[in-house]
Amino acid sequence: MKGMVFTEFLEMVEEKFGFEVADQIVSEAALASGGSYTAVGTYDHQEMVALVVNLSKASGMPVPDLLHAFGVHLFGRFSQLYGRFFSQAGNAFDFLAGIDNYIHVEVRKLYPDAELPSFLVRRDGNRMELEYSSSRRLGDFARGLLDGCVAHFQERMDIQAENLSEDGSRVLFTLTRLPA
Amino acid sequence: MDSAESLKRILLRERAARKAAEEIIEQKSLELYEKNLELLQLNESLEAKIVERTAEIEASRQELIRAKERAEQADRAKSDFLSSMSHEIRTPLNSIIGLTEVIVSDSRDPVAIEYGQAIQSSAETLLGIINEILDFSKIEAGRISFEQADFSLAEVAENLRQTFRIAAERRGLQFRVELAPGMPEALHGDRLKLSQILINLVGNGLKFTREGGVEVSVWAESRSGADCVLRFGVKDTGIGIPAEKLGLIFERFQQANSSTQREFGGTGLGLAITKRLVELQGGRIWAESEPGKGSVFWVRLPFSFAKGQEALPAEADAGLADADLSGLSVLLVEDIAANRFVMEQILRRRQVRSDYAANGLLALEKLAEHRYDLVLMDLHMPVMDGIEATRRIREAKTQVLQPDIPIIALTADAFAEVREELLAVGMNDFLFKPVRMEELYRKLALYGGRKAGGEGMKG
Repeated sequence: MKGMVFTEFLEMVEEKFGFEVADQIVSEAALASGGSYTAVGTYDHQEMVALVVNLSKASGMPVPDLLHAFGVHLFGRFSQLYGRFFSQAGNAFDFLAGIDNYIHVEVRKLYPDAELPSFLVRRDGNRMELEYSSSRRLGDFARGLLDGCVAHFQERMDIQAENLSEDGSRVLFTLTRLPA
Repeated sequence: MDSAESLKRILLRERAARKAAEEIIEQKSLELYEKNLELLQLNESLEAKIVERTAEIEASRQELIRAKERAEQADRAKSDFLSSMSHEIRTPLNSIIGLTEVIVSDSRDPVAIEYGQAIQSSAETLLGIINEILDFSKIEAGRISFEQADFSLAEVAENLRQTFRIAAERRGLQFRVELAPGMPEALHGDRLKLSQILINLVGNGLKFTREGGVEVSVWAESRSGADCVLRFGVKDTGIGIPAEKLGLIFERFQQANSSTQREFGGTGLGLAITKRLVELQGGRIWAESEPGKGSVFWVRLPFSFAKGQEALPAEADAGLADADLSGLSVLLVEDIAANRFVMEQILRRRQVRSDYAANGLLALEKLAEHRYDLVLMDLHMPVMDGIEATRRIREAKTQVLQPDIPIIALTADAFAEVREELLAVGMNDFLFKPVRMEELYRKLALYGGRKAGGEGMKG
């Protein structure tokens, strides 16, 4: 998993829950990386799972809620950090249609062999189906990113999630644009 | 100052520094990634281009091969045409030469003799040209083979002297053939081709020389074990060849200039043939010349020494030509009436009795009915050719067909493979068409002499 996800996560924890909590969840998890993350590194996604689980314990918030919140937050950060991706897309559907490409370039440029989540996109007028497949099973996180995206483009959107597999490795999101 | 606040500021500065570093890495790695992609695409398009160009090159190569095949086929067709035309022309020419020879020999009318000699000379010239064309088309068509047999170099030199002596004398020119001392006597190679090369060069030299003469010199350039390289120089005091034409004169139908053609005649094939004959034997030919002073034609040819080096018996026996042939009985197997007529006239002059058959099968019938001393056998005939007829005569189980009778082939083809074939089926010897009286009489004496006029001859 790309280091940027970790650095952004810990910064979010620092901002929302304070330095002590951030230090605590890192210290309590036995992390191979020792919790020193850089955006240009890549790390075992289990470390993220451990961090989120610890944060859930420390904050009393359920893991799915935390993942979703982080997704929304991360999308906001993306729009600040990778402005050039957003200048090309005028709306949420345009942006989502190209998301596979952005991810691939940004990850592969440093880690050509990295395992990537895939987004299968089917678009039909005001409807878009987005099929998320990843062995990481971070459907809630993906949902958070989608909500962040809709918020960024200031659109009204109905989003339904449907598990295509029991383990959560495949989730079908159906996005329907609502009249403003 | 609050130390926790200081640490926090330090942390934020460090964090900002880290992010700046990360940003630089992200940026640079993206650039590298994109450049790499471009390179990959370029590489792919280059590979595609190479595949495309390779296909184009292959296509044009195939086109060239086809064009070459077409050109070669056209060239073969041309050679075949020349060859068959020449054959067609030679048959009537045989009649002209043979009958003129009879007229000149037998006539007492000086005017008739003079005219006859003029006809003879023109016909000989025409025959020479046709033979050259035929030779050349055979060489071009790759239908030429080289004989490997022992021969005497001194004999080749002597034949060369005899061939040109009279022609040179008649024009007041000198002609000399000099063998360097210590030359190997017996060589192994193609005697006829060597003679043809030298005859072409000498004939050429004499043709272009008005005063002075032609000199042939021969020496061994190198020897190693059983092999040697001989150098032949044919030097004339003729008109010479301008330097810029020296490379051209060995091309077919090329002479030094077109006025040469008008003044001296010739097909322009002689030197081209000579060059091929030399090169096909692994040799080299070149010329040096000074216009107005003369030319030297050089030939370098590899040979090997004859095994044993014993002196070869002289082939020609001068006495044979004058032998008494009267009473000899000859079966002439020849399908073309004009050729038959010529032969009958020549035979009759020496009181040789002749009977004829128009093809091989009829010849077998004749042989079963009558006794003959000798058979003159044409090769190309309808129904049964001369080769097949000879094979049947030689393989006959009974004496009815006279299986031991001497058979002399009449052939227009001087090439080694034809001679080998006709000797292989059991023919004793061969005569080239057009048949020369002297040659014919000599062969008749050689193979039939025992039976004629009582004068014993070797058989």
